[in-house]
Amino acid sequence: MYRILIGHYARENHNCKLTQHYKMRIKYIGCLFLMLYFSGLAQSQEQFFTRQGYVSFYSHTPVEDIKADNNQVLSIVDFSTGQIAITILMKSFTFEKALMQEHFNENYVESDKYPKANFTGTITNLEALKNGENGVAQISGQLTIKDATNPVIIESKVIIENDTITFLGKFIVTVADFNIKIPAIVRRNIAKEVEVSFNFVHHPYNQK
Amino acid sequence: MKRLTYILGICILVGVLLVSFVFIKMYNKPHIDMVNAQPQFVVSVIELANEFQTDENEANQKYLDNVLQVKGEVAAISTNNGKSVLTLRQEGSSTQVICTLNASENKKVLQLKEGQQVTVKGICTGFLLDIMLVRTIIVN
Repeated sequence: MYRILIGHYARENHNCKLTQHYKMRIKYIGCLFLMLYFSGLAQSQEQFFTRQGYVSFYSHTPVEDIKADNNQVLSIVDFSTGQIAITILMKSFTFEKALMQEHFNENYVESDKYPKANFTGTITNLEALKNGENGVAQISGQLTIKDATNPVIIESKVIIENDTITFLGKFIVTVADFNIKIPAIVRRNIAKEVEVSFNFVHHPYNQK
Repeated sequence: MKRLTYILGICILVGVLLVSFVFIKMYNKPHIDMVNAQPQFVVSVIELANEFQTDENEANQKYLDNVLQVKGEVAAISTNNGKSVLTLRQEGSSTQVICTLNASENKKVLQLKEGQQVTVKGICTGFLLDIMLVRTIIVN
């Protein structure tokens, strides 16, 4: 098809250089379409996501235990590259006590100013995981809460079923690493290190 | 002299009681009562989706932490870690509204069917791929 087109183009212009250019362009566009087609194919097979991931945190001190959970977390996993991207709405954390929730949002994470926390990471043992060895993913990445970004290394259990991939596990976050200042009066009520648990049931990206 | 000590003692006792009473009251402050809460905004799924897609920051300022009454069609009913989750959609919008329901709504949710029109009331927490509501109750 494009030979005819080029022939027509060449006859009209009598300009060899331009024809060459045109030919190149068509080739390039053809290539692009092919790439798009295959990447689309790869995407539909290898990308998984959830709109309703679960994240909770737990702070334990002798004075009191504080727990909050959030089941509105967005998580996307690309199994061809091993990349993970997670976005958390800070206001979606619900607490048992209204006062704790208020303090959390207004004073500690300042959710009006910083409504989202982000995590981006890579599965470092992707090949082993794909081969079905032991089902534990080693993930290294960056966690951003407020205006602070810190590296984190997370071990996650991975369950691969028919069309879902579940990641679950826990890790420790040091409160002071993220510019969160705890006033002296409640310092004994809030742990310096908070345990974060997660459970993401990912579905293929092309489905809901 | 003895009398003065008595009065002082009683004063201190009353003071301590009062302070601890206020403290306990504050500490146990209840969450907002969603059943009686007046919605600040009454909107449809499409209106919300358009506003958040056009300018997320502006929509955040307008809606976050506020009680919204939203009308839409039931797209999915599910549970997530013991909480019921209702997803609302509306024709013409790929963005949906995901509502985490109050535990009080667990019975009502059983009577809902996919495709049914429903009105809910919840607190808006933000926008990812969808608009999120928490502490949601079913109005009708």
